[in-house]
Amino acid sequence: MAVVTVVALGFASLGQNLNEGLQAGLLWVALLFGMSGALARGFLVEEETGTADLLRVGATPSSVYAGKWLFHGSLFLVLSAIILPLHALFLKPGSVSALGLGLMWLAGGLSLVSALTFCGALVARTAVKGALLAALAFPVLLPMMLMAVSGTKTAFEGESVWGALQGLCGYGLMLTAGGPWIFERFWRE
Amino acid sequence: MNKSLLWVVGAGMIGLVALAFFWMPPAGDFVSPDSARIILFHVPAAILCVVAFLAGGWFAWRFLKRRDPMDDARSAAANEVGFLLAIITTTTGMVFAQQQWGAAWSWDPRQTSILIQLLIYAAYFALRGSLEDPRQRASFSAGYAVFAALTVPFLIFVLPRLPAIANSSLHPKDTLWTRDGLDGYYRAGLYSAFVLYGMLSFALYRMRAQIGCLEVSIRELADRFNAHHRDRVGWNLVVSDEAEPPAEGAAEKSG
Repeated sequence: MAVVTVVALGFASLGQNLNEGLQAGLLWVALLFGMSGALARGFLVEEETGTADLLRVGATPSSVYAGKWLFHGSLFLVLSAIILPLHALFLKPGSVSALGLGLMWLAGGLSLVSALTFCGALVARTAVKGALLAALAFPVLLPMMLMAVSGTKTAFEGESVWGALQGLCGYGLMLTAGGPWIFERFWRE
Repeated sequence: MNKSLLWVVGAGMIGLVALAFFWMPPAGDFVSPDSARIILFHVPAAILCVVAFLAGGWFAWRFLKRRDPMDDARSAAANEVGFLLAIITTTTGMVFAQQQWGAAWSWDPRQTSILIQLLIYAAYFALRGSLEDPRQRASFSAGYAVFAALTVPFLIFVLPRLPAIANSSLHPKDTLWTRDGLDGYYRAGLYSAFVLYGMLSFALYRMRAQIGCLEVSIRELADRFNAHHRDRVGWNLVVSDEAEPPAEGAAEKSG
């Protein structure tokens, strides 16, 4: 889905020069699209197939959470390996600050992976999973997306990303540190 | 106590409206000088909604530690009050923005952060509504409430002050904390508003928490009654099983 998004946008912008803000937004929308497809493979599939009960008995909550976080993290790496080159190929950003872009990708990825893992764990046992997941994940992801797009735009302009990076790192670390602690408290309910 | 507190708060709120419209002068430096009076309703609501959300997070954290359902009821009550105050903040802010800045919504960093906060807590109430089992509802929503409370200081204090974002804000900076930020009328009015809004929020929280705690007590009582009732049914069945043979024997004798 993420690849289709990048290719479609690249095709749609053929012959046009997209500004840096739009390019940054498209990059994060493509990554978010790709990651949202993985949510069903996280905690939801464990609950639906009944293997979550086995995990509750046989594994500590922190190791279950770490496993799911690593799964989402690996998927983010794979998606990035496909989307970032395609984005560069089709949308041709100008004078990019490679260090800035790398740092934004890292901090944004940390926040995205932590937020999706936590929200996926919360909604896995509710009655209306799909709708609730969107309702829970959207406001949690919104600040992260705003900062990631703002910082990536600055990186595409070749300027310092320090301001957005501070905020994004703070948010990402808060999600990453707080998620497992909270998860431990409700996983065995 | 609740009733007298509500009377005091009600009378105080009428006094606050009178203070804002009949005692405080219009602010000279504003595009729309009269619109500055809204500060009495906007600023205390904005600050107290943060306090309510943090209190909600603290009760949720206490629930996760102690597993007392009353803490979950208190957390939900504090979050409901916080949500109401956030709606008042957003609405009064939009009225002021329309008058002063020419547009009700301009994606100012503070407008954006309170909107995100509203969405986060709307999701909290959606999560509470989607879980039917009271134990699960309490645990899951407490988990989310702690998480939501963690985002509050970040969204309200950190995000709007980030160097990359702060410059685009239309909100005045450090008005409350500097000596020449407000004149005597506005300072006095604002402090009174803080006290009244604090009392109003506390009264609302207390009422809602009492209802929540009452619901928990009724549920616990019902569970205990059901468990006891099940025992009684079992005992009755056993007695009737034992009681039947002599009755049959008696019937034979009589036959």
